[in-house]
Amino acid sequence: MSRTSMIGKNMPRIDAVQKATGQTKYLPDMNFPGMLYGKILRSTEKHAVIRKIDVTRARELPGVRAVITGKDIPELLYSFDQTVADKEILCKDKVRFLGDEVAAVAADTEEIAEKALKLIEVEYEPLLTVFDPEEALQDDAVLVHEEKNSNVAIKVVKDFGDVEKGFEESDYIFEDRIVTSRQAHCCLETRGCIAQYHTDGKVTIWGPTQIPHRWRKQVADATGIDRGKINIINTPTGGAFGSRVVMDTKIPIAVYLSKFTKRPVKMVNSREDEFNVSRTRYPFIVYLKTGVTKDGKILAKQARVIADNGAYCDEGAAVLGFAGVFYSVLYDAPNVSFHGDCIYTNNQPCTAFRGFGNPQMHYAFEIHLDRIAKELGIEPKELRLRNANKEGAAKATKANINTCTFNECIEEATKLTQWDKKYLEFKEENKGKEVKKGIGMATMLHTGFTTRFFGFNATDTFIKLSDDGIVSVITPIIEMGQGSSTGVAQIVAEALGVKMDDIRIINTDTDITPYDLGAYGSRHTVVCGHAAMDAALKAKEELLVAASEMFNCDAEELDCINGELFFKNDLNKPLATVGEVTEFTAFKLGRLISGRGRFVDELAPRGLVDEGYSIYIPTYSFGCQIAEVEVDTLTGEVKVEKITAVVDNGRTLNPILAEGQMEGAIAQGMGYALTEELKIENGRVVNNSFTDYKIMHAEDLPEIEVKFVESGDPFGPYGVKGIGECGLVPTAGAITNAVYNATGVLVGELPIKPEKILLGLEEENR
Amino acid sequence: MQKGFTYVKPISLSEALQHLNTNDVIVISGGTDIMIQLRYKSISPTKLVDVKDLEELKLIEEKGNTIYIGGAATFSQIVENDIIKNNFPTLVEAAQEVGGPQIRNVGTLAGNVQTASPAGDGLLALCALDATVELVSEKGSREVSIRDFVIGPKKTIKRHDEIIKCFKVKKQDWDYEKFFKVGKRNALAISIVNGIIKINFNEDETIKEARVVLGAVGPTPKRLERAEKYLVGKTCQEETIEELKSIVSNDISPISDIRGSSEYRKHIAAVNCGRYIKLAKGGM
Repeated sequence: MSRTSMIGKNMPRIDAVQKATGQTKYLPDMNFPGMLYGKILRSTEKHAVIRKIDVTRARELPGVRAVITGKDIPELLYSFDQTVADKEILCKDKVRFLGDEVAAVAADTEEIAEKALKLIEVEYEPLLTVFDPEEALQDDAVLVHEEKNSNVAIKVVKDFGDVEKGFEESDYIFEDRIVTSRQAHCCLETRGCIAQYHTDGKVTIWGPTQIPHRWRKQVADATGIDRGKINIINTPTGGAFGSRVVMDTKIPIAVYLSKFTKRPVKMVNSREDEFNVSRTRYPFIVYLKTGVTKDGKILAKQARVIADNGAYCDEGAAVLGFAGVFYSVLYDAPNVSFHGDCIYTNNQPCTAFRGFGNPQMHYAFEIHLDRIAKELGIEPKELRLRNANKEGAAKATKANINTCTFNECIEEATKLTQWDKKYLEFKEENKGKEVKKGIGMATMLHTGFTTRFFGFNATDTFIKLSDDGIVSVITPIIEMGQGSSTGVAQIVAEALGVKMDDIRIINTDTDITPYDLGAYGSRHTVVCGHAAMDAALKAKEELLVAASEMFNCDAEELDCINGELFFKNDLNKPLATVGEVTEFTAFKLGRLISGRGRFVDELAPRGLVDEGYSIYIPTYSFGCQIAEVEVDTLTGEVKVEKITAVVDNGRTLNPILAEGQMEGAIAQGMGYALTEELKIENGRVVNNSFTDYKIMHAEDLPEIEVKFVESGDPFGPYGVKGIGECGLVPTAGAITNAVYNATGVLVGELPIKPEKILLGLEEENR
Repeated sequence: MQKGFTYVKPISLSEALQHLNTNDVIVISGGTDIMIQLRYKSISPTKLVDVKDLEELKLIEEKGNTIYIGGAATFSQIVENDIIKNNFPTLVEAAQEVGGPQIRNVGTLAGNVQTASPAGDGLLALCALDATVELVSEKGSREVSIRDFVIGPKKTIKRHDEIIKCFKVKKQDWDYEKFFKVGKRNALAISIVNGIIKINFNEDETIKEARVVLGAVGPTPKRLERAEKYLVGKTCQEETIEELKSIVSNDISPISDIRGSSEYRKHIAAVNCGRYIKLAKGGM
């Protein structure tokens, strides 16, 4: 028999059957004996001083077990990043957005808890408000955090080269102001948790999370409880997209409620909570200034980003960090300047969202680039190729690009779509037509493996084989729908030589799994895959040694493939199954087989002090998406006919899962482009349901063609790169450019709704 | 706190009618609107009477010159029914655009009419067909024209003791008819504007008779009688279309909401009426 590789094969997900048959229990399905239900009283003011909170009547209601306010808990400020901690878990003196947490109740039933909330009396003294981040920067704007001297919450400044000199040398300078929208994650499972404060002072929290180990720190920071006493058990996760990185305030509140009642407390968001208060993608206002030579060479790029931080700090630094790095590295300009600020407002706070700040910046710069192309009379593909990145250190940023597939991705995407032909033909075909065709592209640069932002980027994995050959993989891999646990199982099956069916993934308990940063930034299959591969290879060494004792030969003579042992020189004749070897090892040799794997990122500790971008991103993924659209010029309606996505994923681990990731991300990117926008008017969310907040339905999706360019990354296990975010990053830019190509209207404000396109058409005709 | 309610599933229409003795009893079929109203506590019934499987309410039949469409006929049923397909193509087009496939599989025509959304696709199609609503109660039955039946958003003249038994629609012949919906792309399952245009031509290509009905431009679907009268005797040329567009935008006063501004609604109502009149000529 020949060696069949598990890598690159369409393998069904290991969790598919239980999920498809509805057997998987999500957090809302879980109930414990004696469990109470927690509810939060939220501020009815957008910005106000709290004069008085009276909980007497609520406490007297039968069935109510605890009512707590800021006075009942330690005075601590919390944020995902404690250096910018600014949030009281329960507001004592002041509320800063509509929905800010003021008090909480634990009761025997949800109904009683809700009734108790209505009995809490709060007196507010309203303050002036500010909702527009640019207004919040004015001298006379009210301060959202009165103790700070401005509304600037977080600042990220990165300058490379000399942009002023670059502008002077340029033949043309282009400037644009581009605005992106507030996108909601829209997970099918709303946020929630169950907390149990044990009598010995230990705390267990069940909930869907992307980063269980760092939730321990977050809970500790927010409550003052010793981190060593906190255990997180991550439950099956119904979608995440960045929304389950930074914990929700519900979690420390549930911990407090459990502490006061000594009973488990469950808190689950309603869909309205999810839209009203649960944090969204950071909306950006982007000012771009780009200097080019007459033949389209970019000499200087400058971006000023004003992001709406909302009332409290969250992932702003990472969001601006992602925005800055990919903006600065892509197109390899010699002079680059990125200045980004997160500005406090009295809006709902924002958080991480698939791609962090990169989709915002890609939309802005890719459409800006198409305008430059048009005004210079250079074809968009050509303009991009003239500014292509190259392997090695990038000009300005010194970013280390170890596999550069910039040109390949563009060439492949344009070939698949017959770009050269359509780009010219559509213009002819459109003449005199009411419905016009368009084609547009966007290049993509994203991380193939997170950042070294935290100064640590590693993990371990433990593998143990039982006496019957069942392989348990103790790994921090997070399964949030993306299929990464299947990916890790495939890597173990390949490296150890066992069957997929014999692998058990143990990944849900921080007391068991190795420390790890979590699943975000397209990192998890790479980091956990690496450690798992290492563990599997170590276990295989032990397995082959044991087998050599069983067959009286040298371990080097043996191999293990797909659950069976062979002599390397005779792969047609299996000697024994893995189970037979493990049984022999246990009962004849008196021992077991295991392996400890380790992934080390030695450069990571330097990531904390790296001033530039030389080691910030371990590996880059390039990509290119092309959108084909039809625009009804009478109504402004856009119909996306096809999206072609080419992406460098290093190597494909599992084609159906990889394509699924891309398709899901593209659907979310289409929503970002066309319909998704959480509207906040004067501090109040006006579309807090799926009736009014429109995500793409299956029926709305066009043909999506996904093609992988396999660069074989030297960093990833078997050459893989992460692709969790890549699919979404360029989509809005590609669609907007396609509409520009069809109509001549470039809409610089997401989502590009029909009304905006129509307005542009009217202006053009004027 | 919300009181509980009981749920009954009668086996006949007469049994169902017996339950409708107070105004907090609500008839439910597909539940695609009722369930949402329950969730938002905008209704608080004491009893739900489920009629979705009552065969008497699901019939679609042809009797002479009239077609009877049972109130509990689902949109999927309507889309696939030969009688409807042969006679009322715009009703099929409208039914195809209601919600998503899951909604169409359970949502019913009577539910769509009783919900009385200004943007209701099924309601619009029935208005353009001049349908008659047959209501039954223990006291007997009565017939009301659909336009008199719906009196405002979420408001009809149905009494609490009545059930919409069926819609009676006269067969009709149009040289051209078209349903349109702006907002159907991009998951906008609820119309920004929907409309139906129907035209009969004289032999000399002038318009003999026209129907112009628009949804989501007022509290109930609106028949644009001035536009219809204007079209009679005209040919489908540029001048006619321009004048028609201005009549349409003058005669409607849509609201602005999250889905679209009043100005945008006026614009797309006008351009679509113009577009389909133009196509009517080509369609001859």
